[in-house]
Order: sequence, then structure tokens, then C-alpha cells
Amino acid sequence: MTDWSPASLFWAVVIFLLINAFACLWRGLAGPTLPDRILAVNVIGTKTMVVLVLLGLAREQGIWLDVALVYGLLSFTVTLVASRLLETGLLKGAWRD
Amino acid sequence: MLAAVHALIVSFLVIAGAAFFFIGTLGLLRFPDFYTRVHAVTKCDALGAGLVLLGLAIWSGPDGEGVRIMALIALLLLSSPTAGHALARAAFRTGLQPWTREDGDESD
Amino acid sequence: MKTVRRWVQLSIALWLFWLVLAMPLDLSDLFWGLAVAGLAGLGASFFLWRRQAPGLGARNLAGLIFHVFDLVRLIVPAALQVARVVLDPSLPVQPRIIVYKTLLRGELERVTLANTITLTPGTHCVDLDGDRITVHCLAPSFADALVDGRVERRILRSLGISQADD
Repeated sequence: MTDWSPASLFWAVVIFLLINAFACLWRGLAGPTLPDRILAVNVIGTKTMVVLVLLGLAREQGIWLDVALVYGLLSFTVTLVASRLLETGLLKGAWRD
Repeated sequence: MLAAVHALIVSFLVIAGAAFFFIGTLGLLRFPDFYTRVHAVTKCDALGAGLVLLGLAIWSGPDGEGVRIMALIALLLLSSPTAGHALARAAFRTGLQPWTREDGDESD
Repeated sequence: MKTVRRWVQLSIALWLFWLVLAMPLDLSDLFWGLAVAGLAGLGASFFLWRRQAPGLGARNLAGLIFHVFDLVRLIVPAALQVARVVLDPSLPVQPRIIVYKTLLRGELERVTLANTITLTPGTHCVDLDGDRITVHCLAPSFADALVDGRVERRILRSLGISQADD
């Protein structure tokens, strides 16, 4: 018990989060509206960011953390740009069909 | 002894975070319309990711990695509600109507 | 010169962000960080906050940091409440849209209010247009704390602003 390290737990959580991400992907595919799909992509992005940090610590490679930071910033930007695009009318009414 | 307590705290935080992630996923799949889904996602995902990352920051300690993970938490706590606002506002302004319970039982 | 001041402020903020990200620091990190932050700040100062600076004093800033910790404390019951709703097999939601006129004046206070609404249990800010805030709540009762002004008073207190009049 004393020399047990949470690193093995990290792998389990990675797999658990990946299963969650695939469940969210179903919402992204099924819709039914465009904001739902953007939301699903945003959620998957958050999960991926956490998975990257977990992988970096489980494999003890610091570079994964930098990837996670950039991924987090990009995923946030993607959500903002997509909702801006939706709001400014370029895709107005696109969920009706 | 101290190492065991340390590992226990980290494991607890990571598992609690994963549980909130699961609730967020469940909310995304179960709720009836976009606006209610945003509720589930902004709260549960931010808290879940925050807890997991806090556990990881404690695990890797304050020299180097821990500080950067805390920066990631700050980024996440700022971006999650902001993304939720932007998306909900875009949906509202383009005219997406919120779902309401049909059998109009007004008393709550 | 307002542009120069904006440039210096932005560059310092970007430099601090860089220093956190490059955490095991050595001398070259300090130097290159300053160079890159200066360039990025120069580019950004031409189009960020052109019309109006966000007007952030030192006292507001301290209050804002305090408020962020307050939000972290708020998000736990909010997430637990969503968990209770989601895990209930009958999914007890009665969604309502509520339009609320805020008494808060400045942009900073209004944006803070919107963030607080989002992170309190059962309510989510949908639109912020002037002093009209559109709120989506999972059930009408969740908006009570907002409508009777408790949330606004709390923000004013933590930001350290005394509301002169309305």
C-alpha cells in the first residue's frame, strides 16, 4: 500500500474519459441542432485536454502539458469563433432541417 | 505514511473529478434541449476538470509542473462559462426556442 | 499617449503569462519572453480596447481576484444540484426564460454578474444587452436569489464598489 502510486489510476481515468468522450460524440452526431453539436465538440475538447495532462504525468514526459495548454486555448477559441459565426448570421437558421 | 496520505488525496480528487465528468456527459445526453444541456456542461465539466487537474497539480508538486497545471485550471475556469455564454447567446439570438414541459403544470 | 500605455500594460500581462508557462525559469526565458510579449503587445494594442479601456483599478482587481475564489466556492453546490437533477430518473426540470433588469452600472460589474449567474445553481445567463439580462433557469424557484437582489449586492460587496444611486 505504501509504494502504490496513483499512476495506474491515471490510466484508468484516461480510458474512462475516452469512453465519456465517445458518448459525447453521439450528441455531436445526433444533434438535433447546430448549437448542440458545437457544445458537444467543446465538451470533447475539455476532456481531451485533461486526458493529455493525465497521459503526460503517467508517462512522465513534460511536453504533453504544453500540448494540453495549447489544445485548451485552441478549443476555447474554436467554440467562440463557431458561436460568433452562428450569431452574426452566416449560418442563420441552419438547424431547421 | 505521508506518501500514502498524499496518494490518497490525489486519488480522491481525480476520481471525484471523473465522476463529475460522467455527470456532465450524462446531462449532455439526457437533457431535453440545448439550453438545459448548457447548464450541465458549464458546471459539471468545469468542476470535473478542475478537480482532476487540482489532484494532478498536488501530485506533481509545486516545482515546475504543478504551477503550470494551476495555470491550466485558471484558464479552464475562465473559459468554460465564457464559452457557455457565447454559445447560448448565439443560439438565443438566432431564435432557438427553449424547451418547456408541455402539460402546463405551473406550480413548481 | 494612450496607445503606448496600453502597449506597456498588455506586454507586462503577456510576459507574466509567459513566465508561468515557461516555469523552470532561466535567464534566456526572461529575455525572450519579454521580447515576444513586447511584439505581441504591440500588435494587439492597435485593435484591443480601441473604444474604451475596461477601467480596472487596483482595488477592483483585488476584488476581482477575491470574487474568483468566491466563484470556485459557488460552483460546487451548482454542480451537485445539476447532478441531483441528472441522476433523477424522472428528470425534474421546468425550464423558464426570465428577463431581468440589473441595477449595476459598469460593464465590469455586469459581466461579473453574468458569470455569477452562470455558476449559481440552476441558472444560466443567456444574453446580456445593456441592462437587460436574459436568464435561463431549470426551475422558476432557482431565480429567487437573483430577483430579490441578493446576487447583485454580493458582487458589489466583493468588488468593493459603493453603488451611489440608481
